[in-house]
Amino acid sequence: MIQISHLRKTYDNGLEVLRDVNATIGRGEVISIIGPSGTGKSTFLRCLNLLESPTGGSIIVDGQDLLSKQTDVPRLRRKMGMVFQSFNLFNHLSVMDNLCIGPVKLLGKSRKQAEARAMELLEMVGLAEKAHAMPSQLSGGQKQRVAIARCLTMNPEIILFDEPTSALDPTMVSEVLGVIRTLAKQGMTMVIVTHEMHFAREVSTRIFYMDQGVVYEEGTPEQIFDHPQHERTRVFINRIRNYHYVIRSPRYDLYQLQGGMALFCTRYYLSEHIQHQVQLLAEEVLQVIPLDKGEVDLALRYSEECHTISLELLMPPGIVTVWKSPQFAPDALSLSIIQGLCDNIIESVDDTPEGPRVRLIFNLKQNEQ
Amino acid sequence: MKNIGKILLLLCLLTACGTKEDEHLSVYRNMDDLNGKKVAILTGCFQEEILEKQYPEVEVLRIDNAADMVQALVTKRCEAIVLDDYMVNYHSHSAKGIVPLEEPFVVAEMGVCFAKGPDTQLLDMFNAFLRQIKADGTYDEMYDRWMYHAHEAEMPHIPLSTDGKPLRVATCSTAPPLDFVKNGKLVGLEVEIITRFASSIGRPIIWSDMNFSSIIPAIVRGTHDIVVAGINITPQRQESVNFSDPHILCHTLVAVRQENAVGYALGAIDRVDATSFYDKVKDSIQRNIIDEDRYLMIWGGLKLTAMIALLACLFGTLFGGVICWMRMSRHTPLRRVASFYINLMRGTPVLVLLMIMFYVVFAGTSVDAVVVSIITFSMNFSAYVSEMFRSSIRSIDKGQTEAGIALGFTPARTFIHIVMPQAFKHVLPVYKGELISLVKMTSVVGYIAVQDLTKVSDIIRSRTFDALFPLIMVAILYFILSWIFAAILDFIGKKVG
Amino acid sequence: MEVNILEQNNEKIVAIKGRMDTITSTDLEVKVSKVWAEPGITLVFDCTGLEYISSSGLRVILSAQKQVSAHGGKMIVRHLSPEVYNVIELTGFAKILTIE
Repeated sequence: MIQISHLRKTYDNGLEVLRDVNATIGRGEVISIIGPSGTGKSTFLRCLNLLESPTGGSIIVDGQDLLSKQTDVPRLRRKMGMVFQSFNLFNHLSVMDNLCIGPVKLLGKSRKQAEARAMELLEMVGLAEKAHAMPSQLSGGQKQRVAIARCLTMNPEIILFDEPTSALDPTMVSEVLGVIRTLAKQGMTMVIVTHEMHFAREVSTRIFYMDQGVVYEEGTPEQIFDHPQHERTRVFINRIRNYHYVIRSPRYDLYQLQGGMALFCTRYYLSEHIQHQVQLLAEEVLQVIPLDKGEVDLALRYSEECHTISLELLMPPGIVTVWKSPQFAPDALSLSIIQGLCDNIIESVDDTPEGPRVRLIFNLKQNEQ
Repeated sequence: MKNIGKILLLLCLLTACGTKEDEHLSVYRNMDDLNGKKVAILTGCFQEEILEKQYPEVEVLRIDNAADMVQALVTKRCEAIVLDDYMVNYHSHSAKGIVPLEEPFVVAEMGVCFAKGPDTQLLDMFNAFLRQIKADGTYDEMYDRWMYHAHEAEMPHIPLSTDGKPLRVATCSTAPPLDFVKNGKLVGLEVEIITRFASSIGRPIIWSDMNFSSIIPAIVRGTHDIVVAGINITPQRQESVNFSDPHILCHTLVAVRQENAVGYALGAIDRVDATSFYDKVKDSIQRNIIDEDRYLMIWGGLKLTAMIALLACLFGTLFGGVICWMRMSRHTPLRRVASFYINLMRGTPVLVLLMIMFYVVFAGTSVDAVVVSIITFSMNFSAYVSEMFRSSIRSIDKGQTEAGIALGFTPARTFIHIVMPQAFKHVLPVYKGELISLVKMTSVVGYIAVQDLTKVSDIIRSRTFDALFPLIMVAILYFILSWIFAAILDFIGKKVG
Repeated sequence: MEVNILEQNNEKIVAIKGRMDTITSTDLEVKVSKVWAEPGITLVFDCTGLEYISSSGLRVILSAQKQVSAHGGKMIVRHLSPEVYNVIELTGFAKILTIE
């Protein structure tokens, strides 16, 4: 349906965002674009409907060259819906008018036809009762659902989602993802730029991992998430699946650490009880380990397959001898809490480019509550 | 409306209370007694220079017309006024309590002004005409009628030719009994002389009523053929214009308040005002609105003010839209031009712009002063509204445009359907304020001889010597006009929103 | 964390709200140490608003218990949330403290 070859985009200030993007998007595909921020994911998406004009390359949509002068771009855009991070509902129009303006003014439908279709779509996204509300009266999640419905009024053949949940309160993410999921089931062709890895994995037929201005690696969700081929992809996947924190001194920021852990837990829909336990575990472990002997890398890992959570610490070897030595009497209270929280504690020595490092893995008990 | 009534009442009461009697009254016998005092003089008149040179210690107060000078004297803003005898005569009849000092300030001759240049045909014809009416007694009859009985005097009917090249005559109608407005018509000694002259040479007349200070420039710029406004013949003026033979001999006098004059004794003059407040207001209405059908003149002025404001608003808004588009254009030259225009318009006082347009840009053309006013205010308004438009368009989130374009609208249609309706709501309150200030700003068009509401009040004041009532009346009319304009805008806002 | 100490029916009530961790428990220790040595005191920890406790917080409570007992007083811990109770249980001190 869409063939993209050698797409380039350089901004006026000389910043090269897209270097050489090649991709094809087939009918009925759901493609998630993931990758670190600043690697041109959104720019790539916005080039697909020419909200950004590419510096070079070609985009062929159903055999029509999007970049040719003869192409009626506004007409072509009607086939490509776009959902924005900031919703961009027309603020001066009611929900109903937001949904009718396209069909009435662009497709030449009667107001009555447009309203009937709009009502259908509002029902689909669960907002029929808000038909006469103004955008300012809606929550973020509701706005985004209306924006999706507005896209659908034009009967698009493909919908581009530009980080549709990034501006939302965590509690509202799922209602929007739910609607996108429904569209995926109906066979809508979609390209989604997202940071919701869990969702991307579940809903996509293919994943594009973008980095350094190119589609660095592409493949099925399993290929990308479980067996990434390239080093950069691996590092990225690893980073997003774990929560990392580096502790540099005994006066580390406990609240930042615990806050980050809480966010990680909500992202994976982990219960508050588990969140409480990982926070406690981290605090206790960091109490019994002297932190003035060098940097300690802390990682919180969650395995979706076996639903196990572990806290991993990577540290200079000197520290561990202290931890194990009989002279060092770790605080009995902390130790009993750690032991109470964990199934087992595994210790190993890793060879890293910076020399040998000791790895401590605390596997959290899963039988609680 | 109740509130307006209250304010009006309060203002009337304030003036009705009058000013307190001074404990120690100075007595002025001649100009030397006025050293260090404030003396009012007509802006641009030749006596100004004499006053400054001979009495350097006098504090000079420059005022634009005779009626305001009399008013300034009566309200104690100055101690004396320097004014021509016929005006003092005329005014001491209407405004009680001013008397001239015995010693005249200066004696001078007045002449009719013609354009300077080698072509003196019109001037020669006028001089011949003047000699003739002086010889046959017509002049003496007119002189007697206007100079000594101005309040009863009527203009005789003088038939004028309807075809032929019209004589363009500029005057200043605030100089009774030479040139003034009575029953809505321009009358006076000079007006009659010129009318008779035009009749004798078989040409129609187009009169322009201007401020005294801008009257000489009018003939210098060639917008007029003849200027009459009780102008004294001075060597300075002779450098710019050609004077006719003297047509009036004028004694310039110094007038003071009666209580400062020699021989004044407290209680000698009836100063007690026994009339009630109600009667005073009734009398004011009678004198300022009903007498001589002045309401027609007021209505005319109101219509003119409303028309200038409305058309300036209309054209200014359209042109402002264009300027805004240029200012936001991608092309640097267009942006530069628009930016320069906006800065120029905003940095120039509108009165100065108006004068430049009238005396420089449109000088020598037959473009009507009203049209010049509309053009000037449109230009001024457009600069302000274009910036308003720009900031309100800027205030609309870029995402709105992007969403419109992504939906399939062209950029132009996105602007019309999405951006403009939202910008409209933003701009409306500021726009309303600007429109109201435009209505009030038009009050300066009197400077280029447009008889708008303010000018009408000047004319009425110069006749009735009631400073307060015409000003309050005009203030209320401006207020109502602004209020109507704002209401119309609110109505449009509701319709569109 | 928020600590309020008030007197009610001859009981010193220490109301604790929020998170009691390494950083905040020192504050609690300073406040409670002013009262725990009063002879024959009845010290009550009201934990209604307590969301989180780590070993540091627990240590303060245990020190208080020690001091109060030494001066012939009585100490009670009230209104523990399941999460907080769970931590106390892990350490084996649930039996030592008087928990209501």
